[in-house]
Amino acid sequence: MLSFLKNLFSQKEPEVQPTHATQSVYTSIDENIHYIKQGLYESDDIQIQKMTIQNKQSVIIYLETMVKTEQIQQNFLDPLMDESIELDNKINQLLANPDFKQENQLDQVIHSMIQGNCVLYFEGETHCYLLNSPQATHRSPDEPPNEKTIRGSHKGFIEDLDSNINFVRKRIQNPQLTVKYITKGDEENIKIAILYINGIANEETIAQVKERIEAISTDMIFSPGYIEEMIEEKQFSPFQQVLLTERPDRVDANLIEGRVAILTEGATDTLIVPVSFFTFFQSPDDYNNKYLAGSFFRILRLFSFLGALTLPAIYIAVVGFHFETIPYKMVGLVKGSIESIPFSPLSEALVMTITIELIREAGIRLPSPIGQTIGIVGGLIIGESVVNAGIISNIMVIVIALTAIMSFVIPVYELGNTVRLLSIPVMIGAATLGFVGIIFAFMIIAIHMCSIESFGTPYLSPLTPTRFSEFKDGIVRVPSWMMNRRPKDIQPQKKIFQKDSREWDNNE
Amino acid sequence: MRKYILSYLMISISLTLLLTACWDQRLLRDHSLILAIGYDREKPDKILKTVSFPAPESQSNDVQGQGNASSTSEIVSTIGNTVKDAEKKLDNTIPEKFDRSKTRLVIFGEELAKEGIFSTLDSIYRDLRGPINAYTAIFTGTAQEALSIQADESILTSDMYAELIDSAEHSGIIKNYTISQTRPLMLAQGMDLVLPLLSLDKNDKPQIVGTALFQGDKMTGTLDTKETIIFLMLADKVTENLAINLQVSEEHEEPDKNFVNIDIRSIKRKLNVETKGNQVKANVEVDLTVEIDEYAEDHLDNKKRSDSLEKKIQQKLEKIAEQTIQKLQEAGNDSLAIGEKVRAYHHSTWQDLDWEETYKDMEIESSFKVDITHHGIIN
Repeated sequence: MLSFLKNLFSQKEPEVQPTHATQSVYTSIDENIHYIKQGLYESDDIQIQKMTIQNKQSVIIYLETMVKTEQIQQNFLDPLMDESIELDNKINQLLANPDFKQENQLDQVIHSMIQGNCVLYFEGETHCYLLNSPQATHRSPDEPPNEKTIRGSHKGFIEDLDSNINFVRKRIQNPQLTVKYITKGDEENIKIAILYINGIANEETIAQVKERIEAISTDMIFSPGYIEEMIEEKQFSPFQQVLLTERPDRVDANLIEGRVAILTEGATDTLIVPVSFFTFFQSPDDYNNKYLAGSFFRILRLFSFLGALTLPAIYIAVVGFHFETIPYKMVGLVKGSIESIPFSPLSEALVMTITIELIREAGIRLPSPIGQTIGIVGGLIIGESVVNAGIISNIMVIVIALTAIMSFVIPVYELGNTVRLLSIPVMIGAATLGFVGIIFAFMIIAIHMCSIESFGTPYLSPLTPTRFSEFKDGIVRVPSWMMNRRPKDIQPQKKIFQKDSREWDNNE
Repeated sequence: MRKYILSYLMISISLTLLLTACWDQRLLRDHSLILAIGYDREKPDKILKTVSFPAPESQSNDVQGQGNASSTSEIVSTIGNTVKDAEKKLDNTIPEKFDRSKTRLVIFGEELAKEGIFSTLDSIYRDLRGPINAYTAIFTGTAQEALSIQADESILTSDMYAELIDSAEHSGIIKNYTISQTRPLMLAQGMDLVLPLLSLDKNDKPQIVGTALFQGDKMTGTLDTKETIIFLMLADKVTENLAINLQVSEEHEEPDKNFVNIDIRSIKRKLNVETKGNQVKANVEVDLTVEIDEYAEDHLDNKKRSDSLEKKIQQKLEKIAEQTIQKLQEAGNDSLAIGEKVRAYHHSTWQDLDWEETYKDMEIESSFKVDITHHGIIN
């Protein structure tokens, strides 16, 4: 069936290979100007300025939208205009500057103009000079709004790859931190950086990451989600298999544990592999809290995952099949509330779930003052009147609202979405077979989760394969001086993370 | 190939889920929950089944779906050959289906209890969703009468009864058995069943009047409340904080001063059984540590007075105990489990005996030892 679907959607197109003509620099100004103009398709933001520098005819060509002109003037043109030093000597001097390069391929020249270079050409020469002074606006590294923490670092990645790597290096000042660039896309326009710590990260994992990223063949990567879908193992799985984060501190912690980070130019999200299911329940805040609070919140999140998945289903199963399991003191209350509801429990739950999803979706895209209004209108007014009108029972409203809250507790937003989506098949199971149906749905989900591997790491590790010693950081959060070993599931080269950090305490 | 397996799997899963035809769905909103059941003998050989369930909310001006639990009870009675027969007829009397899985209390009319209750409970023992943890009680009259009373506005009849016997057990006045616990007691040799006995007072309010004694599954006698307390001590069934009020003298003019109220702090019971040939003799020793709650006569700091009070309490308790044991023997109710002890430790004797006969005539002695350790926060 699947292969049929695949055939249906894939339309074969003849492969077009882009031709890269190699044209060296012409010897006349006009020819060069003409070629560059043609190469940029007569774009209107091309600026051409002819001038004479120390009696030599010359021209500078640049894209005014990409170049910071004052800097060019200050750093390059002013020194060149200085007549006290001979021009050739001056140029030789300037070539020591990494922003001043010599180039003799015109196509390369055009390509670098797009990246913010300015072209300087002297009449009669067979090469030109590229003056690098890109115009760039960076926003400040604010804390990402979807990964807020109470304590700890409040820095977030920005849309500039170099700055992002800078943030990581600033925190891990270690020569072993390795950055590997891979340029992707048919026009060679996407820069991807793979970061790992040599000597800690598993070499096989690194090789696998490189291999999978090399294999990507696309014109444009619009978002890290593209890379994610191309490198993850189970391509149809509803579960997140790559950790997306915008926090430098999270990336650092994971790098030091032996994972690999993938950064992309123009994106704030960093991909971290390999991950296990329980990684998604860890928040940097856990480590800033005391260990008891950290463990408590982490277990709370695990429970809310289970709750978000099962609560509506359990409610449906109980009122539809097994109402003898309701405690005696509650049964009258429940009965009173669903007595006159016209819908079946399943449709009741679906209507409410979809309503909540609508409110959420509407709230995200709107500016915050209107978003709040939507929250109030949706949450309070609809919730209240739907019950008053007798369409939905108030217990169902409680259950669905609780489910929504539980799904938002999970620190990784994507996994919260997964849970809310998965709760629907579980509900259908509950509505057809009661508790047995929930068990069926759970079995299918569990079997699927057991079968996932993320870059050689079992997804449910450390639960299966069971390694109780790793519950220390996987499921609860023990005091930091007890976490002496790196997680085994990512097979780091260096297993010991720290020695006894409370040695001072032993002598007493 | 792997992809085909996946698609077959998907098809088979969706078929199992879609073709179940709602399996055995029982929607809560389509069932009326029976919260208390009463069984009576309808002359000469029919069963009268009475059920109490929360009355459906009046639909008129009430906001729907608001989830107010109904607080008024309604009752329906039907007559049938057996319990299930009566139950089938019940379903024809109301628009919804009855469901008895949440029943809290099963009440038997005295008359039916005297004829035996086992066959009445049979259908509950068999039922997958039978209310086997509902309490059982006997009513001195008909169960229909018991369930017909008009309770206060705010409480269901079933709740009122259930909470009445529940709180009575907490204060150590009676011992409750659930339906599942009654079965072994009815069938066992050398052990017998006792159930709380309820009645209505002059104002039609339910109250506990003692204990109904059973031989096998037939009710054969009763104990009043004071005897019940002593019985529970003798049978080692006192669960917690039991208090007894006893008259220890008659000489005071102020009537209050003739009484003492004791609160039992700890209790130790020992049951000794001796056999000589086919003669069985039993001796029940009860050691009590008590606190004096109320004793207007006072001066308990005086050792002599305190000792004499202890003695008086002992005598009083022993007297009631004697009376209680006599009633138990008359009823043929061996709930002190003497038979069990004989069967376990003197098995050869047991095999020779007709226990029911032996029990009625055997000698059972009881002795109390009272130790006053606390007398409140004064002196």
